[in-house]
Amino acid sequence: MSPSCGTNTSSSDSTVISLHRVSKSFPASRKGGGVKAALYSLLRRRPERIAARHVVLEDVSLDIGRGEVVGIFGPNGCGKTTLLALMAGVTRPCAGQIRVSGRVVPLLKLGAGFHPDLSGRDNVLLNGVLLGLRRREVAARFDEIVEFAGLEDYIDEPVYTYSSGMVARLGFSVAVNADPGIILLDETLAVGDVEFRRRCEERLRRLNADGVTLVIVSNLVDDILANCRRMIAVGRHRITHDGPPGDVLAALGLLPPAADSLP
Amino acid sequence: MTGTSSRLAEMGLVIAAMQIKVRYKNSWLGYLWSLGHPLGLTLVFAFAFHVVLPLGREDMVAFLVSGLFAWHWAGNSVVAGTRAFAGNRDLIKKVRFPHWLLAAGQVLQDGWQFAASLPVVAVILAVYGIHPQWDWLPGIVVLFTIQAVVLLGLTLLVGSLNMVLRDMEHLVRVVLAFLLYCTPVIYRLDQVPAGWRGMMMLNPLAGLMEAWRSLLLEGTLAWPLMMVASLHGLVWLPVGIAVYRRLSPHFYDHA
Repeated sequence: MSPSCGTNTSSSDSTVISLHRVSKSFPASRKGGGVKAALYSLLRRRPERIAARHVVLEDVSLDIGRGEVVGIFGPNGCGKTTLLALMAGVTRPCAGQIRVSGRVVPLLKLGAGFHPDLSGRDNVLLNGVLLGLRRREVAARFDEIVEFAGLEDYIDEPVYTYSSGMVARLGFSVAVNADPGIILLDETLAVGDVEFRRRCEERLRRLNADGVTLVIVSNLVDDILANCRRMIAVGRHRITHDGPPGDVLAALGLLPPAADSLP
Repeated sequence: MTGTSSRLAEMGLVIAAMQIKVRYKNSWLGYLWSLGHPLGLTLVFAFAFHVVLPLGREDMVAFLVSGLFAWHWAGNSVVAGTRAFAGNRDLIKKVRFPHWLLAAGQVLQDGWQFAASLPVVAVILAVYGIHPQWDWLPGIVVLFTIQAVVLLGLTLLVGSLNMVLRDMEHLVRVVLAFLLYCTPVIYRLDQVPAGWRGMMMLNPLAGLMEAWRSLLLEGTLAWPLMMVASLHGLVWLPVGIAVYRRLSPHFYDHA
């Protein structure tokens, strides 16, 4: 039985992300991956060179419905980031199917795609266009993006002069203004200061109220408890638990069962 | 459909425009630097083949600039294009958009730089008594387009291969250095022994460079050379696209 059977698997049109028996592995190392090595192995007639592969996810199935807020939890290297990358469509599974409907805005790394030598202004345009906005849409939202990031005074400075928190703020601000249908967040919010985090959470809550689906990778138990209605625990390349955060944390032994649920 | 392609065009243009900004750092000095490299090459070859080993041309500098600037576009795009994907790890791993636009942006960016240097080329030609005419413009646009297509094919090819075979970069530099001497840039095509000319046309850039020269020096559109160049475009673009399609699903794994 697939681990996600406990949840709503009726893949109706409310399902926006659907993974069916997805597996993903990577080449174990880049060793020998060059022209020289390729020619050499041809000469030596060793076409059998079966590259060892490093399995990251194995036979993972799950469905996420429109408007859900899902926290993904698990130890380092268990495949959380890969799971998010698969949903974002930046990589493809080695086996299985993935269906995603709606505009995905991945925040796999805040400020990914920013060029340090360009000004904040230029980076907003570049990033907005890469996220799928038209030039004029970016222009129309420019002031709002800058205001939310709180970077009015720095927007014409090159991004290499920004602190990592400033980069994160600008990246987040562009993303939430890019008409997301689904937001994929990879532990990136932790960079901003307390005030900015509060505003991010508020903005995400508002987007969610409008039907935007949120998938958040986090190892901060409090974060998941406070924000997510569903928690998926990943371990050893598979989904081990899937359900309400309290239940999953209890099953993982990270939380005593709530007192009122005891007889 | 038109919505999608205009969106793609806009994305490609923004990428190219930003790369130009990065390179020029928004300054005129940047523009001057972009002229520096091909002008430097011109001086080197003028010294070698006018002073040391005279080829007997009085207009050696005009002869060289009529080919070297277009060559510089090609060389730059292919060398930089090798890293179009490998050099943008974050964009490959973290941002979803049609990644081939990175190669297209590189070609456009270098092409824009070439176009921006044409007025300087015109001035140098004028010094040698060759006065560029406005009616060359259609020919320039046609050659520019053909070269952009050939280069897009080549950059997609080497850029994609470089993701799985990381020492491509070294190979590309060596092959390009070799190609420069197998391209009629520092000599004329008719100086090449007849038996070698056909072979030389296998070089994707040979026909183009000779066509640029006959346009910029003599004001004539060399139709046979343009056909050869277009054929290369018709071969290399599909090859580049096919290799990109085959390899791009694995870019993430190798980035």
